Amino acid sequence: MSATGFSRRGFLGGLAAIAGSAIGTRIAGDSWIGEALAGPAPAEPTSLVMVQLGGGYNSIFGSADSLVGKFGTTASTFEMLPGGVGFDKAMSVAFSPMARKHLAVIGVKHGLSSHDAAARALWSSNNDNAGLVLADALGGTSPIKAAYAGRSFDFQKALFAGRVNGVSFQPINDLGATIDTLRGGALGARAPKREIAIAGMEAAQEMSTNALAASPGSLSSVGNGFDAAIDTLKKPSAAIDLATLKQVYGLTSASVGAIASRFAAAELMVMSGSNVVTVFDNRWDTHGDDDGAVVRNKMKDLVTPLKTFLTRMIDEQPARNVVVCFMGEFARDLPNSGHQPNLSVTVIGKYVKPGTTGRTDANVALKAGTPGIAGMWAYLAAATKASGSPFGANPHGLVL
Amino acid sequence: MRKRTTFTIAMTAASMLMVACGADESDALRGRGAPATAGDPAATPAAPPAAGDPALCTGHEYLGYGATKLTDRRVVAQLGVNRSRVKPFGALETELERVLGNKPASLATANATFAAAPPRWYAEATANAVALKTAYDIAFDGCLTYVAADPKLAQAPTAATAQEACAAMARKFWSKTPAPQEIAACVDVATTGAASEPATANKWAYACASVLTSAGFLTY
Repeated sequence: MSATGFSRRGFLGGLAAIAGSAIGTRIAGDSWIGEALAGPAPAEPTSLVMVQLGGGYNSIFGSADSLVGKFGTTASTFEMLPGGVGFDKAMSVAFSPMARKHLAVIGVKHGLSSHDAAARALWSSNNDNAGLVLADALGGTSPIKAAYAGRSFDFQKALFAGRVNGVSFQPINDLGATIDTLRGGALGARAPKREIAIAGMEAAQEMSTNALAASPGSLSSVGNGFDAAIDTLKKPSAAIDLATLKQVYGLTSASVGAIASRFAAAELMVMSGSNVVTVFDNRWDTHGDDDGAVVRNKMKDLVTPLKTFLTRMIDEQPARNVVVCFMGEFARDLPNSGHQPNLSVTVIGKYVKPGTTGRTDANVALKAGTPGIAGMWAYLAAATKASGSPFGANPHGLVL
Repeated sequence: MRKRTTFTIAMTAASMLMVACGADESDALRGRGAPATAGDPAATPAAPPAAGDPALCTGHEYLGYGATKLTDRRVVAQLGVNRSRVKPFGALETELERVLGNKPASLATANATFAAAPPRWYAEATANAVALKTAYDIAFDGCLTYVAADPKLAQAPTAATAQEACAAMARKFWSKTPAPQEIAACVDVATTGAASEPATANKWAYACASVLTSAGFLTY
């Protein structure tokens, strides 16, 4: 060591540190050391209801017969539905008579096993939200063509804040306020009259022009909200009864929180004419669920409101075409219920032909050649009778 | 020995500072202004160049678990835009009372409509059709009381009185001076949009509510 503290070893150590730090900072960054137009509306009121079981959707719900001995599946835990669909009873008990006759399982071989990549890809069509693309393609005159209840994953927020030909997703947070808005406003002496409120809201939108132009991203919900709100005031819907909704779904308040209230919100928006409605339930990342007990228990929360929804929206609405799709980011894999890079979604609707293209093998894999995400949306577009094939030809068949 | 360790640590720290901003931005740690000429202390440094678009800062892309690009979730934003945010319900509650001098009764049950975050939680507020229409309803409720307390608003609005009142309301509610077209939109509600409304107070309240439902008040 020199008197100044400057030694050859210290100098070389410093150089090594420089190189190491430099390399370290580059690892996550740059390289250095190596380098639609809306189509005509379908002939009958049509809605697609997407139930996103965020975290994953176990293939015992749709392919249970091929998973006997896995995830706690035995001959007594599932039933065979028309079309050769093996379905775990934990969920199938919720199926109404029409749902049992018109259910298909659609395989989605997407090859993605991370939550964010799969969740975003499943909702994407080119650079747009696929749900908005379909909501736009379904056309019609509903002022709120796309809505959701519950919360998306954070990494999906940008997708759900988007807009396709003026169609945007509107969150439903409160059944009462939504009903008030849909019928043209709140009632009472201190509430504004609908006709004049339209002028007031249009003026508010005009006054917001500069602010929205300066913050087109962070205030996109304001811009989308004004358009949908003014449209809603101009086209008030028939009265929808809050008391009935609360009673049939067993709700004690009008707030949208628990899963039953989200299905109630979905019914409200279907009946008001929305084309695409999403119900989020992000509790399904069931790692270590080797015997399937966790997913079967979680499904108990859904069964009652789901049965109510399917009965009221499919069996009791013969003049409507309501298509319901259950999906997660992927199926759960074996042996520890991790992330399987493919998915089998469940689709129910009056034009759904019973059958399956999502039957897995004993290791939850799908057959080679099973279509991917665009194929799933093409199927949903076919089941909703959307015009113009916005996602290409339906590769699955299974549509009446 | 101690001095040698100190030197190594110092070199490490220095190296991290030097490379943190990227090797291909080799001027990042240098003074960007024109160097002062020796003997010319009054030399004015040149204005710094405009900040580049972060989206242009690209490089080799690496894949992480699940074949996801490590940069997939990197937020890329332009400087100076998207600076406004929707006010959360908690802020609206106090702000309405502050600017109107009264707390509309209809505000009390509106927290679900505005998706108010539970206590001790944070969620960035967003707007939607129902929340905006409800905001208008609540604002109208509060504006009825506000208007009744202002003797200047006792007469039915004319183009001239509405111009003055709308400018004053916008200035007060937004804490900034409104642009002429913003005032005009408010005047239009008071004099034309609410023309069919027989009650004078209600005419003003419709205009007042439109100012309170605009981005000037609902965002910051």
